[in-house]
Amino acid sequence: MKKPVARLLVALAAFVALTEAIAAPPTDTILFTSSVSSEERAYIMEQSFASRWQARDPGTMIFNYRFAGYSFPPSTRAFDLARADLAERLRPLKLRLIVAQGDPSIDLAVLLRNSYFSDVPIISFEATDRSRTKYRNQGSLYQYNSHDYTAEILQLGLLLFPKATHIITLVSVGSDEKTYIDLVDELRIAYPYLQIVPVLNPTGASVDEALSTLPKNSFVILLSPGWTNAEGRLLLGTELIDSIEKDYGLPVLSYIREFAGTGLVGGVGVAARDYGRAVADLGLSLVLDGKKPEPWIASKDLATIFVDYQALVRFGISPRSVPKGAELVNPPVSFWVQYRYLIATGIALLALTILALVVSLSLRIRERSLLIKVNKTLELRIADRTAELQATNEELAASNENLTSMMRRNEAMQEDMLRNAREVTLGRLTAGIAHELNTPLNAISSANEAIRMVLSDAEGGIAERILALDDGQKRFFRRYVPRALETPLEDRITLGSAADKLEERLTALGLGDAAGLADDLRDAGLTAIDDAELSEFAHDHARPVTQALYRVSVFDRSTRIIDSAVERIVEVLGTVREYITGLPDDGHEGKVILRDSMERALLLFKNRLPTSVLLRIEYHDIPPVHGNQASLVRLWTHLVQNALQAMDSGGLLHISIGRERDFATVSVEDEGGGIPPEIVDTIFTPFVTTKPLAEGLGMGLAYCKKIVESMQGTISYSAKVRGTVFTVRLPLDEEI
Amino acid sequence: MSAKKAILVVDDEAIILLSLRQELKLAFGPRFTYESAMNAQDALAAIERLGAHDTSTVLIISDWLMPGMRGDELLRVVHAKYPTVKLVLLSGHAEDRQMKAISEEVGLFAYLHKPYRRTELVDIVRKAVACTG
Repeated sequence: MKKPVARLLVALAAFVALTEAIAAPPTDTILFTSSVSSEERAYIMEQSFASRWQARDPGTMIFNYRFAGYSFPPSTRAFDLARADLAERLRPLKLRLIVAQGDPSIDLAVLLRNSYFSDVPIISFEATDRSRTKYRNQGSLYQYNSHDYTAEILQLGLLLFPKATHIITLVSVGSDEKTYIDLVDELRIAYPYLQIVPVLNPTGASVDEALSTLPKNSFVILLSPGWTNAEGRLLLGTELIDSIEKDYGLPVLSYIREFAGTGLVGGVGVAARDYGRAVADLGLSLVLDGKKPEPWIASKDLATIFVDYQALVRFGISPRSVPKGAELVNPPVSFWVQYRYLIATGIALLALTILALVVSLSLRIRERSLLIKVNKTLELRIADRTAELQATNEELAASNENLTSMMRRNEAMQEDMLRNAREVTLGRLTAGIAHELNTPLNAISSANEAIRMVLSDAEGGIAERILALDDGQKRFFRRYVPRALETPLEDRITLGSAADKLEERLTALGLGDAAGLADDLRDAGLTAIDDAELSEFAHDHARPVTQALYRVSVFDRSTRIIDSAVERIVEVLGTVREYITGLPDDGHEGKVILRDSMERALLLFKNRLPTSVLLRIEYHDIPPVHGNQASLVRLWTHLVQNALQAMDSGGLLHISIGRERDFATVSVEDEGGGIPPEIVDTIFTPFVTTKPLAEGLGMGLAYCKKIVESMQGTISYSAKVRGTVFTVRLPLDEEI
Repeated sequence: MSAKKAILVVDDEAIILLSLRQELKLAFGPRFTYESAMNAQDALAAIERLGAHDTSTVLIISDWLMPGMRGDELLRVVHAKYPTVKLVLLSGHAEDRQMKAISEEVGLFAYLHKPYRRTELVDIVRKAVACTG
């Protein structure tokens, strides 16, 4: 009986087991298929995904499948085998999701889904362009790829490290190389001032090479899940970030972070981000939007998520989607912060107003009670004050009066000074004119006296002397009288040597008083006479004739002196009149050749140029100027005269005429003593002169200036080491 | 001492020089030789030349203001070289102070203001030459 009981028990157990087996619903399963050739990395991915996913959803089964090690391009057979294998193994299970990494796995996943599991969504990552393009419009295929948001990470990095000059991007991409390189190129164009150092498929050695040369103000964008370091140890996730920060002192920015409780962190890097995004798209997470860039980034220990508020605004992401506990970079300015001063000011004003109201109210109450009392005091005080004010007013009035009278006195003084200045000017002018006229008037008066003396002397004057001559003497007189009347003034001045010669010749003829006769003959203009004539004059009989001739020559000389003096007077008065009226004598204006006017002026100095003065003249052919010839002659005369007067001890007088663009330039350069500093500023002012004792009118340069300005020209001077240069610029008259 | 005597007039103004000389000659006739010079250098040369002709310059009438060496400077030179020559200074403007200085320094015989009167001129010259004997 024992056997049937055991059989029953076994049967029962089998039934229970069968019942259980029949009754148990199929487990939720996720197919995780990877294409990596590295056993190690595939394992990391699987473990990481599985452990984190199951931590969140423990009932889910993860079915790992590696579709690597195939020939390239993968053979259709390999796909067929893998598809058949997977279909058989997954059919009894409840497949909810396929996660495929890399092109072969993605191809396999799509094939599998289309053949057997038409409702199951696929998440792909690390796809190449090929498969991305190929599967772009496939329903339920969610593609996630590295680098999509690298630019945004970089932007955030620059917000955190605004002084960064070097950025290193570390990425392990495998088949995604081209996208990465394109991205780096784009970043280089967008941030030309940044050095972007890409490192593909990093290893311990290549990272070390790239990082050790970076300057301190750089940061690292880590997109790679990990690598084997120089000691052969695999570095992953936070450990990797720590080692970069510790070994190279550079901050690291990475996608690696906790995704809304998905548990995808560390070791999977880019993949983690992609999984996270996928989870979000599948409605497993509320945080991520999936279509917008992510403006947040994790700190190295993954404890803090930094969110760039300004980036959120820029990308149009609601700040409400920011994970809890995230730290704001570029935070929004709160209403209170933005307006705190305004608000504080408002409150302060309100408080002050209330205070003022309270105070004024309380004062008014007190006032009213004190009013009567105070009123009296006030009245007294007001009276006092009024009296004080009255006194002050009176003082003010008095000082006002003082000031007024002082002002009046000042005005009177000013008037006096002006009058004095006018008088001084007038006095100076008069004295100048008087001096200028002194010489010619003196000469006229003297010449007149001489004539008078000749007309009547002790011997009855010239008339009697001539009448007393006998016939022979008269003939002699008549012969020489024309010569006595034709000697120009200039020749009469320095004839000492001529007289000496005459004296010598007369002495040789045996004459006793040769000097007196020689002097008379010289004065009578009779220097050029031969020995025969001279011996006639030496005769006693000729004596009265010589004296008569001499006296006749006095008339001639006197009239010439008077002519010359009158000419001088006319000239002086003309200059004064011209200065006052500004008009030259003839008033005629036209084209003037400067060279002609200068030569005419120099003619006046022909006989008056001291031997110690060397005259150098430099003429260039230039067009004429428009003006009055007489004025210009006078202008040059003044300048030359000034120059000569400055050169007491001789020197070079350099006159040049040239042109400078549309102007004629005339310079008169002397080597004289220069202009004394005390009158330098006023040399063109009338009545200023260096000539002592008002020798001149002091009007020369003022007059010159007036002439030049009437011709729209300029006159200037400059001091040299020795002497002065006066430069006149006159507009050329070039119209044809 | 030479037998012949000369009066020298110095002025840079030709018309003054000529009139002055003419007046003196008409006033004093053949007693003197009348020499003229337009500047100090010429004046000094004239004294030399006259000396060479046995003529002693007894009087110099010089203008004060002349280009080159001034009248007072000329008189200083002359006084140093020919202490017996009588010196008369002629000028339109001269400050008393300067006049006094030169007067004491060279024993100026007289000072003649421009414009001078003939009688004044003749009187001064007469007195001056009287002293020379």
